[in-house]
Amino acid sequence: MTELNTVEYIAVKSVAEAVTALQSHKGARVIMGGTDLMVGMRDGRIRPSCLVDVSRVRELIGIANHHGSLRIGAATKITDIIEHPVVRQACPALVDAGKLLGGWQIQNMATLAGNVCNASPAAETAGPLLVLDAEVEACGPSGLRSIPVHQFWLGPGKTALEPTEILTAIIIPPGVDGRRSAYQRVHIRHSVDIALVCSAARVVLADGNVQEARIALGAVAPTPIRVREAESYLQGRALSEEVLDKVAELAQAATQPITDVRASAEYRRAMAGVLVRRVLQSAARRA
Amino acid sequence: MADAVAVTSQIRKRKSVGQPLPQIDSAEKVKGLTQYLQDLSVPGMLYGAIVRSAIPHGLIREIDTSRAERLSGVRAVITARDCPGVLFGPQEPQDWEILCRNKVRYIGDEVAAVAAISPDVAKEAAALVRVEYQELPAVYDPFEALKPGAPVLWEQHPDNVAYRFHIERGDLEAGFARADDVFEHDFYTGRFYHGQMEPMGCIVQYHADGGYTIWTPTHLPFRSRMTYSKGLGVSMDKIRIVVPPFGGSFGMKYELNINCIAALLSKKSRRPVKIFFEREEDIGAGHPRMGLHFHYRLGVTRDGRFVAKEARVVGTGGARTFWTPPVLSTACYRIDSLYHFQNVRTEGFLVYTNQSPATCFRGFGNAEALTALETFIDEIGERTGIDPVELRRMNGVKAGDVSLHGWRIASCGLRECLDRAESVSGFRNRKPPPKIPPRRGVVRGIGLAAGHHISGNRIIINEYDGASAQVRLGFDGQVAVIVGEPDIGQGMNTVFAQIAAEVLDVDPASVRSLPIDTLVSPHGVGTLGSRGTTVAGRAVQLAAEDARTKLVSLAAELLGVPPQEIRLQSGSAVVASGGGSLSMAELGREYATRYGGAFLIGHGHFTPPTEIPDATKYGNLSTSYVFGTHVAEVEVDTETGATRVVRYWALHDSGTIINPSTATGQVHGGVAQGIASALLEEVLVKDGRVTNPNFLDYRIPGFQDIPEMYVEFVETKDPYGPFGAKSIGESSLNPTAAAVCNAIYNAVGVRVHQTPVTPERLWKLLETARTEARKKE
Ligand SMILES: Cc1cc2nc3c(=O)[nH]c(=O)nc-3n(C[C@H](O)[C@H](O)[C@H](O)COP(=O)(O)OP(=O)(O)OC[C@H]3O[C@@H](n4cnc5c(N)ncnc54)[C@H](O)[C@@H]3O)c2cc1C
Repeated sequence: MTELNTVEYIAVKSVAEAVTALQSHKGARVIMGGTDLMVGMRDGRIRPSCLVDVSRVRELIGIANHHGSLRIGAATKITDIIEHPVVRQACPALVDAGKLLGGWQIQNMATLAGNVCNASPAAETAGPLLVLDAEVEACGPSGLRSIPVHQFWLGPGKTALEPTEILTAIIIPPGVDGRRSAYQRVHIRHSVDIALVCSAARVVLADGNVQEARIALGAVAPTPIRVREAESYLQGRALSEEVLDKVAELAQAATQPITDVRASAEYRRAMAGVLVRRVLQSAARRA
Repeated sequence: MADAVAVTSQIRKRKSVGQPLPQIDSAEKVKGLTQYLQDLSVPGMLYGAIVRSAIPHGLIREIDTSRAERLSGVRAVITARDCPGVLFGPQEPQDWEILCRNKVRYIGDEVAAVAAISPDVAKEAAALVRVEYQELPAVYDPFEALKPGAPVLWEQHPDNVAYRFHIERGDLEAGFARADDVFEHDFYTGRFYHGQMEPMGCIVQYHADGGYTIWTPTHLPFRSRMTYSKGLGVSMDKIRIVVPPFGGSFGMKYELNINCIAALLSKKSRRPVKIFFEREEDIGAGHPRMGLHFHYRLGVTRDGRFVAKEARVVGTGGARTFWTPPVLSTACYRIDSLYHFQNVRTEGFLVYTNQSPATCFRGFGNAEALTALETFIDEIGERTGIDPVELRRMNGVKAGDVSLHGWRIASCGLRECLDRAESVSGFRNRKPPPKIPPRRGVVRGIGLAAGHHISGNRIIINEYDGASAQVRLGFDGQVAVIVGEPDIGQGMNTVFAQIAAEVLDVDPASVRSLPIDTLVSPHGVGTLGSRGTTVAGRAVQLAAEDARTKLVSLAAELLGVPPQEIRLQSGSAVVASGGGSLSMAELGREYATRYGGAFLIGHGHFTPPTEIPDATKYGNLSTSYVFGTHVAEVEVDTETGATRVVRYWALHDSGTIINPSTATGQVHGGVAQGIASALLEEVLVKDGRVTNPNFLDYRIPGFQDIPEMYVEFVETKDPYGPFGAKSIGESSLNPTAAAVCNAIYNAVGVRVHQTPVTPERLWKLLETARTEARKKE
């Protein structure tokens, strides 16, 4: 707890100010809702020299829908995301995930950016963002850049961001049809828990056949993953029992789960198959 | 005519007993005003931290405290050298040391301690203490520990058996010979943490006369004083224990070594010292319910009579002995007072292992035994084709019965509970379980289990069973109840107030129970064994009756009428025939004025009809016995193994219900905890280290895990407790896990033999059953 009392804290008003603060304080960390960061600091796992609070930066708050793309500002709270009518219509998978993220109190504090930057292999929103082909917008000393979300996570707790960069928005690009998307997880406790395994899927259907598919899995590898073999296998096929069995098999083959205190690798692998079937069916029933 | 009036006034409706009053302190609690231990501080107070063993088993070679001592802000560092060096403890075998002398026996064992000006400095200092060990092989599994050649934890116990239980009654072989069928059953109930909101803690102040004041929430202020007195080497009267409001316990806060550690830190630093656990410490190095293995063999006649039962019970006690010996014995033989088994033999083993010492938990071994037994009876019902509820009716005890071991069942609502449970829940119309678990889909099932418990226990302290109380009226008109048993958060002070208020006909909300302080409270056995309402409550009733007699004669004298003319009514003494009355405030002031400020005090004491069991363990153990039946309806996801309890019914015979609201609260909490023990909670240990010492991976239930419950009380008439009240604290939890396990069976057709039934565990059982079915095809 010592660190909490002595750490420097800067509340910034703009992205530019935030970048400057990160540049001038070695070992500084961005703080949003703090629902990961404060827990890590209390445990002594994270020891930042300085906290740069961007949670009240105006330009980072809010959801904008223009030119067919959806831009979710980094400081937007999970509650505001899951209650947003456009998000609910265009990205139901993200809403499924947001509703499972912690409880109401956590959803009122936590941000999508925090969930993404924390880079947990079990992060609730990772799968939905993967299947929505989301892009991460980041700003650093040399300006803005965009990173496809599937290239963003490098390992548990590791992202493609530079220490002086901040995530400014998550963007669902134009042309991504997310209406038939879904997310589910396997957990032990029904009230607030962490995913043992989670999965998201998105399909675009034409005449009952899959035109385009995205499948993602979490907590079965060092980062959230996409199951490309299954995605291409699905192309042009109807979601019959046999096809779903095959997809489940491909999904299981793509996993590299570990055994830990929460679940065995064997169970995780099996559940990956179960969940992939379920999210595909659930996604297909939507719209 | 006159007679008839007198009779009606005597059986006037109860005003206070039976009312669903809110707990007296609930407004304070809800507003956050209650001062729990963590809110308290004593001027000059330091903070203690414990240096814990990092290895599961080893000899201590050297302890270097010099760096810790040099850290600024550190006021005392202690090791075994500062301890009196006697072995002591709450139960036999006594194996507590305060701080480890030569050897550590679990990861977390207490090796040294520091006191410093802040919790952070104390923690930092504790980390600076260097301990050199010579590691020894360790053993975690009790069956491994029982094998010859296993690592030995205590030289005095080369077989690693801390305590052995044996009971035998009737003729077991003859019983089995009479049986038409013999069934066997194994069950394991896992290590289960209390999950109480407030972790363990205490403040201890050393005094110039060599004594100590201890502020700590404890069920057993008087009994624990005996334990600490031996450990600290001071006489009992030199230890004063003050009990602040409880932040939960469920059995965790009986007697704890931290009180002695803080005492020695205070003695060395000459400052009061607070020790307050972090959650990781409370789970990781704390004292959960022990894991218990049950093996049963039961002989049954063709028509369903139980005629012989053989059992073996093995408990994973951990490295030292807390309250586990009586828990083990309870797990071994209390069920013999629920059903007539006729001929029994039970062997129990409490085994030393290299884990943190376990202790008691609400249900006290009986919840675990009932989990094993009630799942077994469900299975026997199915295998014999006799309805499992009928089996329970046929073999269950009745009012007036004396159990095999001499327990006298004065009242028993078991059958009423079974009948009502069947009719309110629809259990009778249940579908049979599937032959093979379905591959996909969510299926429903319903399960029933019965249970029972005691209301007080003779052998908590040797000297006596019972309780005493005073009910007093003061100058200010305040009616107060004085007992020796602390309210542990379950609402006993409210119940005491209702009992006293009923007798005196005053407003229960105006009656206060005084806080417990061993310097001023009467000696009490403690709040445990579901004895508070029944035993202490009865003493309160008697004390109130004595106060009533005294009040009546005072009022009679003041009002100039004979005592028979006086009635206590709505807070006043009134002349029955009209003409004159005095309020409680007036009576209190008058009495105090006459006698130099004295309280008018009613005294009451109650000695229950219990007996110390003889050498064969025969003798009536408890004041009264309570019964219940639970029904759970579950949904099982057959692909993931996840179970959700969707509906629940709890029927209880707890005698007269003094407060339906607090009693129902006990059932809600007991069932929630029981569901958690069935589905969610287990302290996981790998190589002696707890791998889930936090509320992320140690999952206590939330609202989504607990269904709405139907609660009904079947009120029997018991002759002993106040107004016929029996207990509810533990019986509310006892049948739950078995009801859930039986419901799972009904849903999927697979028997579970271990709790908690986590999704992965059930999934494995389902997979095995499906694979076997496929092979057979
Ligand atoms: C009780 C509880 C339950 C939870 N349940 C879940 C759950 O079910 N599922 C789940 O996935 N998570 C869960 N979490 C974890 C956490 O709430 C989420 O990951 C949340 O989305 C984090 O968001 P935040 O805004 O609080 O992030 P913070 O804690 O503020 O930050 C998290 C990390 O991201 C970095 N960061 C934040 N914003 C930026 C930015 N703009 N640029 C660069 N770096 C940034 C921070 O430096 C930090 O390392 C739970 C946490 C708690 C305490």
